[in-house]
Amino acid sequence: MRIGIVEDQPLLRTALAEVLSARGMAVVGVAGDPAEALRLGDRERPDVMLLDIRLPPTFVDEGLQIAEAMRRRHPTVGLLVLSSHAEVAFAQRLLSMEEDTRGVGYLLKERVGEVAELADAVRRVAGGEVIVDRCLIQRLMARPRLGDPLDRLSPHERRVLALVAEGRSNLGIAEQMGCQVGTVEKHLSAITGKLRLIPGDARARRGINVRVLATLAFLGGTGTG
Amino acid sequence: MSIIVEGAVGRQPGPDNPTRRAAVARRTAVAAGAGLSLAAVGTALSSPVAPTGWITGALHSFGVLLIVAGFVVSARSAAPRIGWLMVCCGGLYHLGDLRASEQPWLFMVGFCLAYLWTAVLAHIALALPTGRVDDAVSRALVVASYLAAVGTQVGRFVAERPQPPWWWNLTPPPTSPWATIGSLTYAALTLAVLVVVARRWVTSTRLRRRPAGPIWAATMVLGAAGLTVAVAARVGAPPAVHVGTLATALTLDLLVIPLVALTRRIRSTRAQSHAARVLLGLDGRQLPHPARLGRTLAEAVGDPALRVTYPQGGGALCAHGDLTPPAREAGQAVTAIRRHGAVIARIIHDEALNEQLDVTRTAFGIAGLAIENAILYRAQQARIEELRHSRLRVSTAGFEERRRIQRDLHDGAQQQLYAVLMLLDTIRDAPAAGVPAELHRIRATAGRAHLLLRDAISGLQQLTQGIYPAALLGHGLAGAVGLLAEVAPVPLDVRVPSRRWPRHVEVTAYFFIAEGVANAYKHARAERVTVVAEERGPRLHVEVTDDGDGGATARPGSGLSGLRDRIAAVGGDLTIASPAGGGTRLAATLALEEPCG
Repeated sequence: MRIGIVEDQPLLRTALAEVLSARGMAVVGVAGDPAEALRLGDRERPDVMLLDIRLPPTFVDEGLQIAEAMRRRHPTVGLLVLSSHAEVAFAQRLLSMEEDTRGVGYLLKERVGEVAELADAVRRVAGGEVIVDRCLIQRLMARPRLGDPLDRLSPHERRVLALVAEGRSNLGIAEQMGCQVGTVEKHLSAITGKLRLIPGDARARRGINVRVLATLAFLGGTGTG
Repeated sequence: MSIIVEGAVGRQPGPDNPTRRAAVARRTAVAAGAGLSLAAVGTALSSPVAPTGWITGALHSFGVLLIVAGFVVSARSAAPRIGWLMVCCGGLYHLGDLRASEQPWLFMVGFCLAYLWTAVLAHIALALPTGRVDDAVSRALVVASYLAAVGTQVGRFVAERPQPPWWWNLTPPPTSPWATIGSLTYAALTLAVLVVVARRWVTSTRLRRRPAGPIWAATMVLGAAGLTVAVAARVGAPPAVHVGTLATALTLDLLVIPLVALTRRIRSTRAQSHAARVLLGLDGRQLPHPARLGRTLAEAVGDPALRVTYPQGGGALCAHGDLTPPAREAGQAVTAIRRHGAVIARIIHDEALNEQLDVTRTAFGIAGLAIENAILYRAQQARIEELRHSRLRVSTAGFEERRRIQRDLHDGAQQQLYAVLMLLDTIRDAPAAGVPAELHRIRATAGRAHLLLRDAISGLQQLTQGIYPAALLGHGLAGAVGLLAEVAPVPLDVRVPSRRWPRHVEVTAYFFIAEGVANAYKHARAERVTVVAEERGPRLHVEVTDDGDGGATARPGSGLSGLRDRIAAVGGDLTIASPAGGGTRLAATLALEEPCG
């Protein structure tokens, strides 16, 4: 697996390269700013680019801008964005780059402290999956709502909804929950009935990102049920 | 009041030159002394031949009273020359008394100059109200009057060789045509003067009629009497008719003079209060436009031609600049209004205003006060504006500093800590089977360090977020408040448009909302909070409403009081509505202006 790392802080950049190499990944290049990052992407076309979201010069959303540029130039390159602040808007923007965005991930920066999880995320993004950080989803699920519609879900259904939001496929959800795919589908239709939020199966099958975006929009809105 | 007049009216209305005024005063005093002496001598000489009764009283007192009145006018009026002429007229009037003398040469002088005073009277009538005879016609009339008054009498003296004693009641019938010539010339000149005066009366402004009117009227009475006497002489009426007519006219004038003084006094007081009323209506918050102040002053003092200019030099003080160097027309005077020695305005007005010093001083004094007031108000506003700008700049600089610190912490220290966290993770997480106990202990320690560091990073992150929320930069107020809603322990109903505003406005609005929301769940035990931001014209209105306990006040030193200060620092204001038990509504209004300078 060939990895490019875009991070402006040299110490963290070096550490990331070391740690991922130790996990059997080939770090084919590192970059510290958007221009370098694009040159790296053009030159190496790595399987996955690991992108810090805050980069010079403005430290606002340069990482996302690189992701958008890379997706236009080299659609096959997986993009894993690391963000210090869990912002739904950033995740939504990342997942909306294409109609059916694949091979993208939005992780919190603190995930670098869970190297196994980070490496797993890199592999899944390389495999074309969509990933949204579980902490962001947990926070969204836990936020107080008036007449909270999530109260209508059973604990199992809540867990399924969270996994949907994290970008898992039905099979992935079944693996995570240790149950049959059929059970997951049953839960999903129950959730759809209760919340009327996940689009019909046909569209859901067409793109995981569609149902992630729908769930994020539902959880991230200030809707009061 | 006097302070204002002194302070504001630098050059008070009056004759241009104080030394000239003093010279006129000296001349008047000398003339009055001479006139009074002549009156005493004349009265003594004429008493034996004078008829008995009120007529003599009137004939004797006219000159003296005219001297006294002239003296007063000379001392009080803005046209002291008129007073001087009155004193001369009163004194010369008594020359006629010399005709009662048996001394031939005294009689001759008395006879020849008996009517000189009437020429002075014509002079006065034509010199009103300024004391100067300006136009050629009037000047010619004055000269002709003097020549006629003396010339016809000299002619008659030479032709008739009259013998003493004569007096107003003792005038033998004429024996030469000179009497006829004198009467006709006198009548013609009197008519001419009356026509000129009447024409001036008709064409002059109310302002000019006001001070001159009574004296003109008095002159008209005497003129009419003179005409009557002249006509009477022509038709051969008995001397009693002449004397009666003359005495009646003189008496009328004697009554007119004090009456005039009284009405002028009353009128002046009324005009002063009128002027004050009109001028006090001026808006003290702005420097009145010259045209507007001019109109107001014109109305106040009754001079429609009055204009006001502000000097160019006082540019900083003055919005309208100087229109032109004050150009005045004939009959106009310029009065400067001063403040601390500097001219703050010039008023171009009718000279006749100098005739009513009380009104003019009051009006110009109040106008000066209004202008000074406006200048002070403007200076004060400028200072307030400057303070507001500097406070905004200071606040903005403070926000920039916060942002810099936030960036340093976040992009420096925090990223390094992430690296350490990652390295710790690689030690703590390894397959545990078959490793020595020592290694196991090290891994456990690394695991604990990992946990501690993660908490520390999380704390640091909250700290940097509190210093300057990163989302504010990327997503603006809507994004940052959205994040606030995700982590708040109460449901937040957020209605904030996804628009960008000046940075200091976004930051202030954000901290206002954060504090309002925190208050709602920490202190007011609210179950629901609504956050609304709305752009209204040049301002952003932000409201935080909760359904909590209420009763919040901005006590000094409290969080709300600090919040109010921070909002005020960027040119906004905060209102708090928090009835006990009725929830709390905090409303902030922020000016959407970029800090300048």
